[in-house]
Amino acid sequence: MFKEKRDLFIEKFKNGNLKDALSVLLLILPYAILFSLFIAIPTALAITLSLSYFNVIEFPEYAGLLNYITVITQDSVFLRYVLPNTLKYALIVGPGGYILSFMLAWMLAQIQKGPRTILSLAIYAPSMVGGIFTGVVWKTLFNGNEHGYINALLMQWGLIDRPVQFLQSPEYLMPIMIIVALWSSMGIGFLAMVAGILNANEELYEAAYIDGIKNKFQEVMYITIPSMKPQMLFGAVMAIVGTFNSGGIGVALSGSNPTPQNSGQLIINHIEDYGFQRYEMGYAAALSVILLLIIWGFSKIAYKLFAEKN
Amino acid sequence: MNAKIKFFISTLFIFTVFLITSITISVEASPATSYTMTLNSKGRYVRTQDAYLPDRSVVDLKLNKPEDIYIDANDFMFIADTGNKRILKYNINTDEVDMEITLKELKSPDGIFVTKEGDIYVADHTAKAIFRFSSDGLLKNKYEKPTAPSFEGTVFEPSKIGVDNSGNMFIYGGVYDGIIHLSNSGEFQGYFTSNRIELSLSDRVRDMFYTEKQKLNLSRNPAIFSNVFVDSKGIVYTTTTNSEMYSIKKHNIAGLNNFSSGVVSQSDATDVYVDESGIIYAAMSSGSIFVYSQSGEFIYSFGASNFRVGSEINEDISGLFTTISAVAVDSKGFVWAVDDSKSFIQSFKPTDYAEKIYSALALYTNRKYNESIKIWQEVLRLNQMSVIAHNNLGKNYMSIEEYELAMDHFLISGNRADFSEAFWEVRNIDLQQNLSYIIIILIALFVLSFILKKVDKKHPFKYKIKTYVSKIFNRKFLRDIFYMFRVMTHPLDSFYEIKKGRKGSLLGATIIYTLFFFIFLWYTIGKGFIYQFIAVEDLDLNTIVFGFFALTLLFVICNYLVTSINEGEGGIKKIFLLFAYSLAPMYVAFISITLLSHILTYNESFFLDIIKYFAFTWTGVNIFLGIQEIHNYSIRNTIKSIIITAIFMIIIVVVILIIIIMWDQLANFFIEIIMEAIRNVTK
Repeated sequence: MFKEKRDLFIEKFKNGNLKDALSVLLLILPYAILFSLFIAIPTALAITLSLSYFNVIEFPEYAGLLNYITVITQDSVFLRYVLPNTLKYALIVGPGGYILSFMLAWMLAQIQKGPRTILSLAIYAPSMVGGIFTGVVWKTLFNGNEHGYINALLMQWGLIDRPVQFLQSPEYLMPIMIIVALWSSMGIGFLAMVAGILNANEELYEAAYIDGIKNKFQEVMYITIPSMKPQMLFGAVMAIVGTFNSGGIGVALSGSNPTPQNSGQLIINHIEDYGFQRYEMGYAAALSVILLLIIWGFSKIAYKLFAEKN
Repeated sequence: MNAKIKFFISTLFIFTVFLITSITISVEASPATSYTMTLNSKGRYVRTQDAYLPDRSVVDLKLNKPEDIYIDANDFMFIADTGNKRILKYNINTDEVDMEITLKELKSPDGIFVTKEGDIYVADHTAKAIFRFSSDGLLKNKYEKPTAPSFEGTVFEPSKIGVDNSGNMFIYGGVYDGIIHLSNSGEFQGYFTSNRIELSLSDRVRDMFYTEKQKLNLSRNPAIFSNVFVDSKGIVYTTTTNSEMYSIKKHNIAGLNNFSSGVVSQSDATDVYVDESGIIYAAMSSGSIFVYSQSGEFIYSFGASNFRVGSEINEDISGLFTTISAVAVDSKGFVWAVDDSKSFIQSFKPTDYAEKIYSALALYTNRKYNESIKIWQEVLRLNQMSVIAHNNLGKNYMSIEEYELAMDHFLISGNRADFSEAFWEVRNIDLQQNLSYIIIILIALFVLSFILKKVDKKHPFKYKIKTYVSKIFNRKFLRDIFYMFRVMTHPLDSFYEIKKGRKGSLLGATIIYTLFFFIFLWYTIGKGFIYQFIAVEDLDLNTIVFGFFALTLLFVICNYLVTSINEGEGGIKKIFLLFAYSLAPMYVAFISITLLSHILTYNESFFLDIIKYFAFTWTGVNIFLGIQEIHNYSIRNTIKSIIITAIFMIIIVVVILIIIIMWDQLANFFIEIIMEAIRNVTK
């Protein structure tokens, strides 16, 4: 019995089938190990945790789907503020930042190399320096006393008679978050688009002009976008993931989590609130799984829109 | 015979009519001399049950221009008898003057306030001081102009005063800077609150061009306060003239206005008084008294001016005023108002209706919701459509978590914001109850699609269905109609096809356009309550229908006229086609907004906005590309032609209006001539 199996194994190895399989396995092994160590296992752990009650001190206790049921039925803050806020923020910042990225990338591609490099660095910088810079610059601009730039200007023009608490009042926090997020949304997707536009084949444009294209708009629609579909897809996915994960802005601006009257509360803030302030890890894990599902769903839509059809 | 019967019947008829009217008149008769007005669910003034009836008119105190009154807890009324330079303490119950304060230094006492301890504060703007008397009428203190450097150069002419429980004085003194705040020792603490200067557009434009020197000559002043009051809890209220929305303000300790969204009022508020339970009474100089709940909700107004246009003499009718200067309320809820032109005091007795409303409001504040509901329902029995009753019933039901009942009442009272809140709760409960079904259905659908895919691989049936469906839709006019969705996603290519006449047809476009009109109508009238701001019966459908068609016609014709002389290639038909085929995003948006507006609350209103803006932009882009393609224009020419089209449309509208007016004149002229002729002939 055992011998038969061994013979079969040796025969397969000699035939080369298994040899191939093993070499492929060896080839992807480093990546597979790293991927599972840093991504697959944590994700699996998070999903497992989301099925438990875990307060960091005691050993996790199996709780079934209780956390998910709580999210949908009990957590009125989530349903009332967090979910609508997140969708609103994502629907504006995601497509908005994406379109802005593309437009800026296209405009940059039209100018000479020197200024282009400097400008693209300048545009890319905000997304590089991230949270701290955001806090310093925008907090000074929107400061709630008369020394804040915006307040000072508005008071000088006589539009307001006392400083507005921009970062502490629910009606202003969300719009400011959106402005800041759009400003810093020219990230890695933007660089990919600049590269994509620059790589488009010049001959295609010439051919198209011979075929009767009349203006830049048609050029963009018929040549530029079709020839940079992979970069467009990459940009879209990066925009979606980045938008849903960039929850720090509201907390950085207002200086508190939860944000004032939950006005700028996004899923990420909610997860932080439950995970690292209330130490309800199981619940926070369930929220992250929901966030994962949302991002996955939106990425699917992006694939439908931008992926090559073949 | 016939004539007799006819006569008999008509007599009987007249008699019955007379009888009915006489009965109705006798029912209508009421001791009230003015109507009690309230707002209906659409925000218009309507008459409601009498809330107050005129009671006593106190005319024999020999008053001379009394400017202020105050009623203490023991029902003593303190009257600032300004013209006679004295203060009167008048017993309401016995109708006797209890005490009279006359002091040499009192020159024109026009503001009075009495603290819980019985100290009488009098503001005198001619003597430029505040006098503080003990309860037996002896002068305790005299506060003159504060010596603080920051108050230097400001006039101190106190005319109204309010004092809180720790002796802080809030003074209105005829200065624009605001309400002066003095500590209990008379030191200047700053301005408690101030009104801001409202700059009009012309002011702003002037500001841009004037030099600093010229600006100095401009006199710009904020709306001035007219009174100040402090209630038993120490909350400061002020009235402001020349400002309808912010005429009555309830201030927090920082001086900010709690009624930041404004109140229902008139622009001539002169005095405000707040009773123990927080009900706010505000007197308007023209003779009305407005009543508000603690939260600034307008309950009703009563009282009226006795001035009638055309009559020289003001009739003396109790309950009517020439000018009210002050208002106060005693412990039984009687409202006392002072007329400083005719120097008398009038009291009003609350009716059962008013007392019910006040007790129900108080019960709500004390969290006795069930009792409050009972009383509000009695109020409803008196007045079925009372907005305040429905509103407060809704609030009470919200507090005891009866959200569906709350929704019903908010619906009647037209309170959309609270309706939205209640609806959110109802929807949440529904969602939770049906959650398991929803999840089961979702899973079932997922499994089904999975199975179908498997089956499709073995026995392909999708293809057959597809061909069958496309066979049905493979009719010319259906294909023409559905081509608009292709236009939506591929505008450049599709407009080229339309231009060449290969796709789309006039019939298709007309059907699209007519359907769009019905969808637009549905969108205008069929949204959910919280998003339907104008009721169907208030809509001017003629204007909507006419405007819709006229605007399209105008656009098509003007665009044709403008482009035909600018090397545009498209004819009228093509322009109409491009317009109709561009509408697909609006189709989707109008239908989805109308449907969604029934299940979304204000919490999610953002989604409707984004759909709307998205669709409008998309349609705009479609029309732009359409014009560019149909006329074979460059981008610059397209923009130019759109601008010229817009200007031309305005010109045409103006010309048509002028022609209509002239034809009207002409027609009138001929009618006059014919009338004249007829008159001459018949003479």
